[in-house]
Formats: sequence, C-alpha cells, structure tokens
Amino acid sequence: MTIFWSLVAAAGAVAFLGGARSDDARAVWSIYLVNLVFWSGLAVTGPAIAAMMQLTEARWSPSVRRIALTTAGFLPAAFVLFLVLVAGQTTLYPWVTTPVVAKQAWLNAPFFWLRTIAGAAALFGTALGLVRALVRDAVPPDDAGERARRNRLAVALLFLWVIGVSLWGFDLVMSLDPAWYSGLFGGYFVVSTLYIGFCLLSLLTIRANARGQASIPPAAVQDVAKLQFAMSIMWMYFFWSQYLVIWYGNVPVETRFFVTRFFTQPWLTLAWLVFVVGWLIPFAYLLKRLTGRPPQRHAPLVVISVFGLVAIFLERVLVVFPSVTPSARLPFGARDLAITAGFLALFVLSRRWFFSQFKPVINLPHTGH
Amino acid sequence: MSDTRITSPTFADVTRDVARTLEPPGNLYFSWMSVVALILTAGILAWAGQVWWGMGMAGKRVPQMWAMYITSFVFWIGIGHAGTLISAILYLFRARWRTSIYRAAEAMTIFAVMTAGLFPLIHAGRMWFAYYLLPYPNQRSLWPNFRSPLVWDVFAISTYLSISTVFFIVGLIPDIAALRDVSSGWRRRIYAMLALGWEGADSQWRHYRRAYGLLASLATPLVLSVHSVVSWDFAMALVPGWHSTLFAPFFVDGAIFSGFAMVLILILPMRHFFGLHAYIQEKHLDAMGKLILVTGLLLTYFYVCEIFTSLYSGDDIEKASLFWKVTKTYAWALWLMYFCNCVSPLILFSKRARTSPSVLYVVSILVLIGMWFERFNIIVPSLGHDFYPYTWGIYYPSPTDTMIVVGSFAWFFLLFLGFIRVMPSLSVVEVKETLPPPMRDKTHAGHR
Repeated sequence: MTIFWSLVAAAGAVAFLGGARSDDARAVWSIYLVNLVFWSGLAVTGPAIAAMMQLTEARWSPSVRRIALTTAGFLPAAFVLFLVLVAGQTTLYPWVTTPVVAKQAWLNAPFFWLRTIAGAAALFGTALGLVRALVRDAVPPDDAGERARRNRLAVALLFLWVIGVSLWGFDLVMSLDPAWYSGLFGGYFVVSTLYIGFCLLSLLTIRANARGQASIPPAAVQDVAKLQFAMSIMWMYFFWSQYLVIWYGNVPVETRFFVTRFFTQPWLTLAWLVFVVGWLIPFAYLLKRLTGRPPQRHAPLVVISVFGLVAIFLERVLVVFPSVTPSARLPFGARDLAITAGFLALFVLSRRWFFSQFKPVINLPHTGH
Repeated sequence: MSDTRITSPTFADVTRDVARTLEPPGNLYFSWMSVVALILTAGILAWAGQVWWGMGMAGKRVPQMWAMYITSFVFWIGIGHAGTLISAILYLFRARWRTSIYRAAEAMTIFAVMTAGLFPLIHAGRMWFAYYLLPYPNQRSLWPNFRSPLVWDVFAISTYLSISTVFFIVGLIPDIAALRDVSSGWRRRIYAMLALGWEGADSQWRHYRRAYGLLASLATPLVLSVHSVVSWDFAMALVPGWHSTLFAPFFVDGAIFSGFAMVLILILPMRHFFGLHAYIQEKHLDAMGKLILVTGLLLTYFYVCEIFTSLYSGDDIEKASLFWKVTKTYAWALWLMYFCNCVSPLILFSKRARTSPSVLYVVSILVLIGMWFERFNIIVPSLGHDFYPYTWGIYYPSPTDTMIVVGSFAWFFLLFLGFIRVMPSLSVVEVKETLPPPMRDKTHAGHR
C-alpha cells in the first residue's frame, strides 16, 4: 500500500506543479490552500486534543489519547507545504500586489509570512515535543516533576494552537478578500478545526479496534462521539453567531461575503450540502446515539465522521474559492481531485512514518470512568 | 485545612452535617442579614425616589439612556450561567466534583436571574407598563416587534428561569425527603409537603433520574442561548463597539467566568462557617480555579480579537471609538477591566493559589468587578461616542442609580442567605453517591 499511496502523492504533486503554471493558477492555488489548512488542521489538532486530555486528567481512555497523537506525523510535511505557499502569494492575496493602505500595517508580505512561518514552526515544534513526551511511556509515571513538565508542554501547545489556527483563519483565509472582516472568524476556524479533529479521532479509534490494535470499550467510543457532538453544535453556533449579526446589520462590506456564498449558484447548493451533511445529519444521528446505551456497532458513526470531514473540507472550499477565483466553478475537476488525493496520500504516509518512528503502543489498559 | 487530615464522611455524617446548616442561626448570621437588609432598604428608597421624581434622578440622559441599569442587568444574567453549567453540563459530562457545589450554584442562578429581572422594570421607569413587553393579544394591536432582540430577550430569559427553577426543584426532592426524615414539628410538615411523597422507591428513582437527565439536556443549550441573545441586544445595532460577530461567544464566556467567581464568593464562606471542609475540598477549589483561569484566558483572547478587528477593519469610526475608550474619559474603567479579567486570574496558574481560599476569594472579587466594568465599557463609552459628534455625551452616575445597583447586590445576597437556612445547600443524595457505601462487615470494605 505504501507504493500506492506514494504514487497518489506523486500524481498530486505533478498535478499541482503543472496547474500552478497554467492559466488556471488561481484555482490550483486555492485548492492547495484548502488542502493545506484542512490537513494541517487535522494533524495539529490530534496533539491538541491529547493536550486537553492531559490537562483535564481525563482517565476515560488512555488509548484514545495515544491515538490522537498519531496525526502529528504529518506536521513536518505540513511545514514544508507552508513554505511552498509563499510561492503562491501573488496569485492568492490581492493585497500583495495592490496594498490596502488602511491595513498595510498588518497585511504586508514580510510580516505576514514571518508570523505564518514562525507560528507554524513554533506550533508544530511544540506539538511534536508533547508527542515525544506522551508517547514515550506505556503508562505515565507518577512522577510529579515529569507530570508538571508534560502539563507545561500541554499548556504551551494549547496556547499556540488557538493563536496559530486563529491566524490561519484571519490571515490565510480571511485576507483573501481584504475588504471583508469578521472578528469571530479566527475563533470559528479553531472550532471547526476541532470538530474535524474529533471526527478523525472517532474514525481512528474505531479503526484501531477493528484492526485489533486496541480494545477500546464502547463507552469510551461513545465519549469520543459525545465530544464530536458537542463540537458540531459549537461549530454551528459559531457560524450562526457570525451569520445572524451580519444579516441583521446589513452593512454592505460585511454582507457581500454571505451574499456570494448563500445567494448565488453554485455556492448556494454547496452551502446547503455543507449544512445538511456536516451538521443536520450528524446532529440527528448523534443525538439519538447519545440518548441510549453505548452501541456495540460503530458503522453509522464511521459514516457520520466521514460526513463531518467531507463537509468541513467543502466548507473550506466555500470560504476560499469565491474570494479568489472570478469563475463560479466548483473545484471538482480531475486536477482538483488529484491534488486533494495527493494531500490525503501524504497524510496517510506521514502517519505510517509516525508509527515506524515512534512505535506507539495503542493497546493501553482501560482505567474506566 | 489540609485535605489529608480530612476523613471521609459516612452517610450519617452527610445527613447530620446538612441538617445542621438548617438549625436556628446565631448572631453573626443575623448581623449579616441586618446589614444586607439595610442596604436593600436604601436601594428600595432610591428606587421609590426615582418613581416619584422621574428618571432624571438616575442621571439618564441622551445618549446614555442604558447606562448602569442595563450594565447591571447583563451582569446579573451572566452570573446565572455558571449554575446551569455546573448543574447541567458537568452532570452530563459526569464530572463528579460538581456534587458538593452544584446546589449552591443552582440557587445562585435562580436568584441572579431574579435580580437581573428587576432591572428592565426599574429601567422602564413606569414599570406598571412592563407587560407591554409580553406578546399578548389586545384590542389596540400593540404587538411587540418580534424583530427586536429585546423581545427575544424576554423569551430567552423567561425560558431560562423556568427550566432552571424546575431543574432546581426536581434536584431538591430527595434531599428534602432526607430532611423530612430527620426533622420534627412544623418543619417536618413543610418538608413532607415539599418532598411530594418521596419514599426512595426504585420506581421513583427511575423516574427521577430520567427527569433529571432530560432537564439537564434541556438546560444545556440554554447556557449558550441566553447570553447569546443578550449579546445580540448590542451586536445587532450598528453602534461602533457593539456591532461585532464576536459578541455571542464572548458574552457566554464572560458570563461563565463571572458566574464561577460568584459561586466561589458564595461557597467559600459557607465552607468556612458551616465547617464543610470534608465536602468542599481542595480538589473542588482547584477545579473551580482552573475553570476561572481557562474562561479568563478565553476572555482575553476575545478582547484581543475585538481590538484586532477594530484596527483591521480599516473603519475610521471603529478605530476612533476604540481610541476613545482606551485613552479618554472612561479609559480608567477599561484598564481596570483588563487588569481584573486578564491579569488577576493569571495567578491561578499556580496550584497553591488555586487551593488557597483567600487567594481565590480575592481573585473572585476582582473578576466580579472586572466583569461589571466589562458591561459598563460596552454600554457607556460606546453610546457616548458613536458616529456624530452632536450625539456624543458623558454619563455620570447619580446617587439614585448607584444606590439601586448596590441594592441589587443586597437583594441577591438576602435571597441567598435566606436560602441556605431553609433548604439544603449541599446535595445530600449526590454527595452520598460519591462516598463508599456503608458495609455491615467493615473487614470487607476494601473489597468492593
């Protein structure tokens, strides 16, 4: 399978390199940006979830915490991919070639890339530091000094994660349309990234059980599903908090962002798809699942988690593309799919590298609730 | 007192210790009640003066018509949030440390909402027309404007009060039955009536648990919805400093932050005077301290985002409003708020601080001051410096509105002080659930 995924990654790279020099460079860089923030978000949110579990002394499943760490394998690759993004700055960000005088203090290329690259380096470095600390021992020692060190790392990671992912929202995505602004966009980006973090964690937890790598009880899977449910609600709450205020205020500079996406095709259809697939169906299923006993079968949860991941990917398409590409074309052509598949392949390969490098023990004793 | 010296109480200890809090109080209690009642009386007199002589007594002038009353209204609604969070959300997440504090937090929620509810009435001036807010059919077709967030407020807050009250009363039933069983005379008759025939039968427990879980699920969305709706009273308007997408989560977080501070203000003296150290232990204080720290850090994040958005927007009016807040007439209030809400909770990074009642008490007081001023800074400077210079104005508090606001604190504490003497301020049932069950043969106690 490694050869297969390597070929897919290589095909994605070829599609990207060919497209970046074509007339359709805007669309190619846009799908690159969508994939970059999506997969990097997934990679760094795993360790962030483990950090939350460390700080809250969550004892409900050490295996789940260990699984959350394994997404960090993609972080070195993600850092290189962030560096590649610099080459697309003139294509993606209009303020690079046509400075916006009132915002130049914040939106200028040197400062922009300094905070993006340095932020990514600090965030990814700290995440890997925490991963090394938490993955080392099968059972965390009752050593107060070591525990305090891990807690400090976890606090540092969570600080950097919130600031870093917020800046991805404000800088990498919001500034694609430099006239538009929403104070909550950074927080919205954090919450939606956390949502897909839990979706992926559900998938990986169920997969670890299915492959015999772990024996995580249904109650612990249910707990991951609970957190996924909570984050799906938070995601919609953060969306609604932005939408309602902008709709009610009806200030042209704010509303045009939503008018393009929710009142013109093809984005309107995509927006409904995101809402139904990413929130309505997961909400309905998870509400039913969480009101009963933890089920033994997890196939519906797998489907719901994939729904959540696909929906947020499409949501990233929805926020990026209309700001960058003048053509109202959905990015589902062969080249777009090849680039996306390339990122997926790189993520899978990176996770395999992580397993070979760190050899994490997933099957930890379940200590109960 | 160190927790290591505290032996785990038995089932009998729990019932006895809770029943002891309901014994006839001493002079200290009556002294406090007298002080609180005196302040409340002064507040009522100030309010009567305002009704008699008019709203000018409260310093209400254009453009600062909302000023202290709506500041206090939002503050008190916010205080109520921690109660629902502790009682409902922490229950659903099976955070067992909540058992010792949730009863006081729930009571606080109800009293805080009751206090908040006074302010729209006081602010209306002619409060006998307050029923205009309610959607009622009438011959003059005076329907409230449903597109106004102020009307959404009426629904949000009345729903919140209803669910919180029912949740609180349902949670009390088994405890009242426990008190009925250990009391006598007229108290026993009253408790028997309030216990609704509770006998602790299996079927009763089954229904009780189902109802409690259902109410917890119903109450959970309210934690988000109520203060979001309150925030939209401001965010829907185009006033600089108000029209922000940040406001809903920002208000919710601030509400939980201040609510936890108030819970500590209430339970720390209770712990001290009632000798509840065995139930409200250092681990509870530690958990509360952590929650205050996290919500405080989140609040700081929102403050930074707010400033960032004002500067990033490129909007001159927004920037001017921010500049005025930071440097002009009310700058002291803004910087006080930043100190209280952003700097003072940082001490809670230290575990020693989180487990020290005196440090927690001081931080909680600072947080309450900071959160009151946060609402003041949203309302007063923003209204005082909007788009046109001819609408600008400075607000000065008057003795009347100051006394009414101080009186609202007295009203709140009077209700709470009354509550802790007539109802169990600690959940007998849930505390017992966290203890090892009694064994006939103690030699097997370790082999549960």
